[in-house]
Amino acid sequence: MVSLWMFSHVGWSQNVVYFGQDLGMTSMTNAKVQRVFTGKETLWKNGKTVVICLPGTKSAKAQEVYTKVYGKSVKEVQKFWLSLVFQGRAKSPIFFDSEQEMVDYVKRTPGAIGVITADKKNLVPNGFMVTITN
Amino acid sequence: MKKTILFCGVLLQVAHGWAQSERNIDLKMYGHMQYNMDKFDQDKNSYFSLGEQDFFVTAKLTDRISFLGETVVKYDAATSAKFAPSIERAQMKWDYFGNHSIIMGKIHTPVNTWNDEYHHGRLFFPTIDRPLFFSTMVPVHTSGVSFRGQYLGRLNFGYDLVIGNGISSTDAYDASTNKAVMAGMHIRPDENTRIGVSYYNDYMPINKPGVHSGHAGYNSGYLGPLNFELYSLSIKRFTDQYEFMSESGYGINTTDSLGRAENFASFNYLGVKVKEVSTIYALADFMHIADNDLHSPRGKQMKTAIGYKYEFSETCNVKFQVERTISSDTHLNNQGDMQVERYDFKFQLAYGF
Repeated sequence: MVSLWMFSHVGWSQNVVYFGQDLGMTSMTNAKVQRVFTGKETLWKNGKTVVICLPGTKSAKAQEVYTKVYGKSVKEVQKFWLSLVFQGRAKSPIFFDSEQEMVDYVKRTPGAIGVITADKKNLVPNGFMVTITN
Repeated sequence: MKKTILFCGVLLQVAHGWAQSERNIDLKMYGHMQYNMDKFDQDKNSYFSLGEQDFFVTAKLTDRISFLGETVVKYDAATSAKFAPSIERAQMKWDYFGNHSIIMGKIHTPVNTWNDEYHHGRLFFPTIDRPLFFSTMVPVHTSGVSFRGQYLGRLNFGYDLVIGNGISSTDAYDASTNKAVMAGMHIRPDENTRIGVSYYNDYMPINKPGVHSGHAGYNSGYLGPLNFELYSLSIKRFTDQYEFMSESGYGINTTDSLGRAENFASFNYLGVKVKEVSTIYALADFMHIADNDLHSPRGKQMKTAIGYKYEFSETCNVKFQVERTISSDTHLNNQGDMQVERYDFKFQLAYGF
C-alpha cells in the first residue's frame, strides 16, 4: 500500500516544506526531521529505506534550503555528505536541479523525503502535506 | 603501467555507464599528489610523488542491501609498472533492523575514529599523514563480518563487533582457524563530537605481518605464537571554530619467549579555523614500542608539526606541513638505538569528485 504525506514545516526551519511518500508516519517532530536529514535514520518505522532528496548545487534554491535545513553553506553540506557516505555510514542523498524533478521522484519512490522552499509548494500534489510538530 | 591504466579506464567506463543508467550506483574518485623536502641525518631529498588514486563506489542492491567498494591504485615498487591496484574495502551491508546492520567483506577495522572515518581519502585527513602508530600497532583492515549499530538513543550511541581474519592473513586466506575479534563503542553527544573506545585481539599461532596490518613490511624473524591486543581511545571534536582530535593506543603483544611487551601511542591534533576555508594546525604524535616486542619494530618516535590547510571547495584542498621527528626506531633510521632527528616539509594536494 502506498500512502503519501507532506510536511509544511514550522519551528526548526521555516519557509521550507517537506514531502514524502510511504514514510509510515503521518507527522514528524523537528528533532526527527533533523535526524533524518543528517543521515541518522536508515529505515522508516514501516521498514522502507530512508531516501533523502535535496536541491543540487546547480539549483537556484540550494543555498536557501540548506540554510533553512542545516544552517550551513552549500559547500559545508556537500562536504558533510561526502564524508558520511565515504565512511559507509549513510547512503548519499539524491540531488535535483529543479523542484519539479524532486517532486516527481518522491512521488514514485516509497521512503523518499524531499524538501523545497515554501514558495514552490504548489508543485506538490494534494495528500502529501503534513505539518511538522515541535 | 598499461595494465593499470587499462584497469582504471575499464573501471571508470563501467561505473560511469551504470551511473548513467541507474541512480542507485554512485562512483567517486579521490586522490592526492605530494611534494616532500626532507633532511634526514646527512641526507637531503626533494621530490614530487603521485599519491593514492582511490576509486570509490556505492550501490544499492535492494532496499536493505548495499555495496561499498574502495579500490586504490598506488605506487608499488614490487611491480614492473610501479603502480598496482589494491582493494581496500569491499563490503556488503544488510540493514536488518532500524540503525542496526551486518557487514561482510573487507573493511577498515573501526578501532579508532581515524580508521573508521578517513580510510584512504586524503581529502578528509586533517593532517597530511596518518598517526604514527598506524605503521606499527593498528590492524588497519579486517576481512570478516561486522555487526554495527549507530545513532542509537539521545547520545547517538554506536557499536561495532567485528570477527575476521587476523593480522597474519591475506585477503584470500588465513592459515589460522583462530579469528581476530574487535569490540568498539562510541557516542556522538552532539553533531561535532565523537568519543570512542575499542578492544582488538588476535592470537597468531605464527607471528607474521600480513596485508591487514599497516606494518606489512616489518619482519622480526620470530615465528612463534603471539597474542596481539590493542586498546584504543578516540576523542574528536570538530566545530566551526576549532578542531581537536586525540587518538591513543595501548598495545600488549605477548610471546612465550620474551613475555608481555607493552606499547603506547598517542596522536594529538589541534586546528584553529581562521576562516571557513582556512585552518592552522599543530600536532604531536608519540609512539613507543617496547624493547621485548617481537611483532613491531621497537623504538620510540616523536613527531611534532605545524601546518596550514586551505579548502578551495569541498572537493579540493591543499595542506602545507613542517615537521620534526625524533626517532630511535631501527625501522626508520636503520642505525640501531641511535637517536636520529629528521625534518620534513610537505605539501599535499587532495581531491575528490
